[in-house]
Amino acid sequence: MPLNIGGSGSIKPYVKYNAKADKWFVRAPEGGDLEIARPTFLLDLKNISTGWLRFLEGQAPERVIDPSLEQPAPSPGDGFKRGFVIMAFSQKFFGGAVEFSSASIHLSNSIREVYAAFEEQAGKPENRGKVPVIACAGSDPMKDKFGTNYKPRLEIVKWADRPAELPDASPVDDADVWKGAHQQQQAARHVPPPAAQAPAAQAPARDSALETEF
Amino acid sequence: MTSPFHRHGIDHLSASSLNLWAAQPALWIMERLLGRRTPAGIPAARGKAVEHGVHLGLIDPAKPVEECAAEAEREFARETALSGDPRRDEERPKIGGYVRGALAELRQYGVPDAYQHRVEIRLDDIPIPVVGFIDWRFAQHGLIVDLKTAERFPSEIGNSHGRQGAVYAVAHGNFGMRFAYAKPAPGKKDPQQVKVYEMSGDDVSRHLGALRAIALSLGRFLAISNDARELAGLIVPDFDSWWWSDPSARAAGREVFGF
Repeated sequence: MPLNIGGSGSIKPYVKYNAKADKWFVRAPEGGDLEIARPTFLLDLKNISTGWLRFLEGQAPERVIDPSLEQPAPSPGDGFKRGFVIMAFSQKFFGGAVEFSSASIHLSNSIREVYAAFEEQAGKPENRGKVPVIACAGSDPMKDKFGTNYKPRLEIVKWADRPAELPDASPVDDADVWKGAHQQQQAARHVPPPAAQAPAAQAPARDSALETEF
Repeated sequence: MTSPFHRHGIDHLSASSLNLWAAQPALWIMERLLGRRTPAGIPAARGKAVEHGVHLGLIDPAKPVEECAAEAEREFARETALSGDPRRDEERPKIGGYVRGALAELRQYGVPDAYQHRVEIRLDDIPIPVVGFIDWRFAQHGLIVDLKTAERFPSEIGNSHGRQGAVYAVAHGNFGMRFAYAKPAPGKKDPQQVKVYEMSGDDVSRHLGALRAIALSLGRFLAISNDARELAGLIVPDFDSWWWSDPSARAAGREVFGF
């Protein structure tokens, strides 16, 4: 089954891939991003979540996660892109379990491809209950209207037992999952102005002493 | 016995204060408990300036829109005169656009009968009031309207705005509570420059419940100690969060939290 993706800010530990620079980063212990080498890591593809992600400057990241991989949530609106959220683990590269999420189309395509390979191999008896080990073996330059970006080459190199630090669980909060028609009914809609009627009242003078909220 | 709020010199709360506690407790402690306020950012200055320009146009329906826009631009320049934030120069040319778009929508509501009107509500089990200041009240329509500037429309009224609106709505009985989200210019695909969303009664109840839960949490935290510095030592800031994007906030945070 293909993933419905193809285009981070988090307080969790994270790993992220900058498709513009072809670089990998983790959260540095003192804050900020710390560049790392091309990593090899466990990727919990069994529990991947897909959905709509939006990153706006100066605002908290927003996500509306698909109820399942088979059922994409409807687009929440402007600026949301298809993306994924997944947990990854590497003591050596990441210092433990980290969240890996993106709405980059090139990275999402890489994840979609490695997920297809995962589906092919996961059913083999020797892989049951195990987690794929992914290596970033390089990258391919991709030219588009935004210039040159990079698509990482992600390959399953082996399978390993699931470590305790990588629980067999969803990587997203339930509150971020689209709840279906009920939630859709609650989506805000523009309210037109009231019919014009105009007892023009005098606005009170502005009292500067009342302008501060604590 | 006085409440933990009173022991820390807090005689009222607000939706913005409770939102900050919920989102960034360390920043709340630094700003609200230790008095290390950080300067309002460019988005806040933008919102205040646009609101000023729109208000001038609402209370005087004959005032030319371009004059309102110019007043807003001057207000923005005043507010940000000492700011070194590079976003200042990016935002300034957009101020007039916000005002034009917002006035086109909100002048259809008529003239407001109150502006920056103080409201106050009580939450169960919280010993101090929650106060707020509405943007505009249109009593002739039974509506409160709060203006928000945004680069893009949100898909719904978010939790922080919803809590703010819940305070305004409860303080006004059965008035409707609307948020007008204004963009600086019409979009290429969507010509709409302002979207107005109205809170339902269920929204108000839900957000009031959240406000109470957050206030209770804050009260329990404050009860741990009468020493603000000791309380600061219990919380760790997340400097990666956009809440700490202002350099002066991070500098003050380093002093308060030691790293």
